[in-house]
Amino acid sequence: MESLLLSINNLTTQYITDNNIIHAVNGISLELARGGSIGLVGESGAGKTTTAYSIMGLLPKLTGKIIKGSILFEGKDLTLLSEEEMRDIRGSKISMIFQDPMTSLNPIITVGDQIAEVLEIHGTSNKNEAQKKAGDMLEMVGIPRGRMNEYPHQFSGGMKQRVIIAIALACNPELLIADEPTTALDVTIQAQVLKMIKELKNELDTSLILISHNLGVVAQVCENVAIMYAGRIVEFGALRDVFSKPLHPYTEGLLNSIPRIEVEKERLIPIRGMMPDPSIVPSGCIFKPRCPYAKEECSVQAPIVSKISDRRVMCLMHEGVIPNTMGAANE
Amino acid sequence: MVKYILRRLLMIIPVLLGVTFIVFSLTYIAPGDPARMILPQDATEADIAQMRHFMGLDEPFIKQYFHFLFGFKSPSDDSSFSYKGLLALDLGRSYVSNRPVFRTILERFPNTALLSLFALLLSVLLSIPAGIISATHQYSVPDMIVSILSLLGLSMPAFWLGMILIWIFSVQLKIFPSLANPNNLKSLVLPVITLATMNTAVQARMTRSSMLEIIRQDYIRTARAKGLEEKKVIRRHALNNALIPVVTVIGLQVGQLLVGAVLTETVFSYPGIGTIMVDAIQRKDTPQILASVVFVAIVFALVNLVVDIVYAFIDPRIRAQYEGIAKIKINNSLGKSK
Repeated sequence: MESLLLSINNLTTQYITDNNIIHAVNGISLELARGGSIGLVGESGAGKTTTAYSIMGLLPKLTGKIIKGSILFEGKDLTLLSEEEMRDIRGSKISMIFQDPMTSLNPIITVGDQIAEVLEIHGTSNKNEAQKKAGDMLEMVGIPRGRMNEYPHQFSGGMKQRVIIAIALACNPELLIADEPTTALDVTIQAQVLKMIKELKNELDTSLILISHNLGVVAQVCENVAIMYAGRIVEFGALRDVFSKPLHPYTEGLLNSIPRIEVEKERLIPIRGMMPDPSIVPSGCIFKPRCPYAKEECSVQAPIVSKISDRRVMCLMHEGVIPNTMGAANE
Repeated sequence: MVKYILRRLLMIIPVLLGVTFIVFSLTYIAPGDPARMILPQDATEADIAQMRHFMGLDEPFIKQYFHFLFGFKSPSDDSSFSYKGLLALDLGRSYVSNRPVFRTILERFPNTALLSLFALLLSVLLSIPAGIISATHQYSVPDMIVSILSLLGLSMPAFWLGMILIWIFSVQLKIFPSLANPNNLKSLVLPVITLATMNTAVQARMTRSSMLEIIRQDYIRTARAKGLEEKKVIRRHALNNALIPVVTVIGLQVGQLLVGAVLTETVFSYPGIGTIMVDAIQRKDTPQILASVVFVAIVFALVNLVVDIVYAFIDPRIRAQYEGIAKIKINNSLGKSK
């Protein structure tokens, strides 16, 4: 019996500056079962990282605000917690791996101490014990214990990312958010790091939200996938279903822009156009300007979330408002 | 590390040679004839020429520079014109007081050092906390106060500030004396404030901008993601990194302090290196000028050596560079010996 670990309901996050409001996340809902994994996929600026920061409570203090919605984690609404209560959760129950391992470690503290620090924050009062556990963590991510007293500049990019993974998993968190964990690494190292995340996730029984702009990366690790576009989850479903039969035109566009070895193609088909300015709230469907199936109605009526068996999609074609020409073309 | 310190000490030598050459050239070019100044008003041209000969001033420029470095034996019977040269730390006697110039400097330097040290302490104690608060509370009222005060501090020249302080606190309020001397701590208050103001302003601005840059770094985000308290994020992760450029500035500021001492000591008639220099320049007391400038240059070079060593302690990457250089050198020499 699967129980829900994380349930995001209608989360809306904005960046508010003096003369502008950036609508970064616009009412997304997402459920993650204990031990489950979701891939959050979308272009740069789709709101993936903002979603992660909203969960972690790491939004920039002056500008970032959760306007409405709730983030239920183990039944507690994280949006209502105080900074102190959030601190107890960060690093121990919810951890995060960041995009750029080159800059994510403090250059003047040894890697051993950086791992031990998170253990000391969350309960391991004994310094020696924390150091010992930090060594264990290093070995777990495949770095010899003997390198504990070395500094980040003595490690390669892939090894730094392993250290960051060790920091994130040190307190055995319930939820790991990996924000583009392999984007800054070269392809062979990417594969190693992904494999490690997958193995450790299974070993430690951690739930995972993997953020990536790369469908291939998500395909290797996750059970479910959520496609984000302009701060909305436009499609959600089991990875296999979404990949084999995309319901949203944007998902289809993303899949069409991946090179496939078995299909001979002169050129990949890009999604034309750009993502809309997040400071402007459009009427109608947000994807309409770039959608090859768009009709008149799309610029008037905004789509709502339609449920199709255990999948969800935001498109008027699936509300029956306009004819589903996409499915016809597919089949 | 020891090797590195030794190498840095050796590197000071060419710097000092350059400094001495420039200073020597400047005093050589400067108008006025020391021989004429030493002799009474009614001395004849022949007397002056002979005096110039005794003092070695009739020699060509390069030769005089070599005398300056390696010593000079006066052709006269009066040994007071002879000296052993800079390398023996002997630049002869002052034309005015007839005392060995370095002795005067060594007597007076502790006074300047005392003043500079107090000023440095005051500026560091004020500027670093101010810079940190300013950066961690960007655009807040305290930040604006710090910014305005440091702009103000930057815009006030030391001699002007000194005179204003004297006018307010000595003349009007009669709280602090206007003449400073090293045996009376109370009399040091005004000169220390005068000296420290500019440094405090520069360091506060530096700390603020450095801190602002560091707290936007990814590893600060990592520290927050660990669940670390914001105060500790700043103290453990941001401060050390942010202080690296600040330490550089403080090192350079020490030079500024010594220069500032010239003005401040003059304003407060304080018996330090600054007043020696001013007196010597006014009287064209060449040995005293040369000795003072060279001495200040040595102090400045040593302070910056200390700064570089402090760096290596704060930042393992810098430490690794030096160790790396040492390793490469060792490898090269091993390669050669094969």
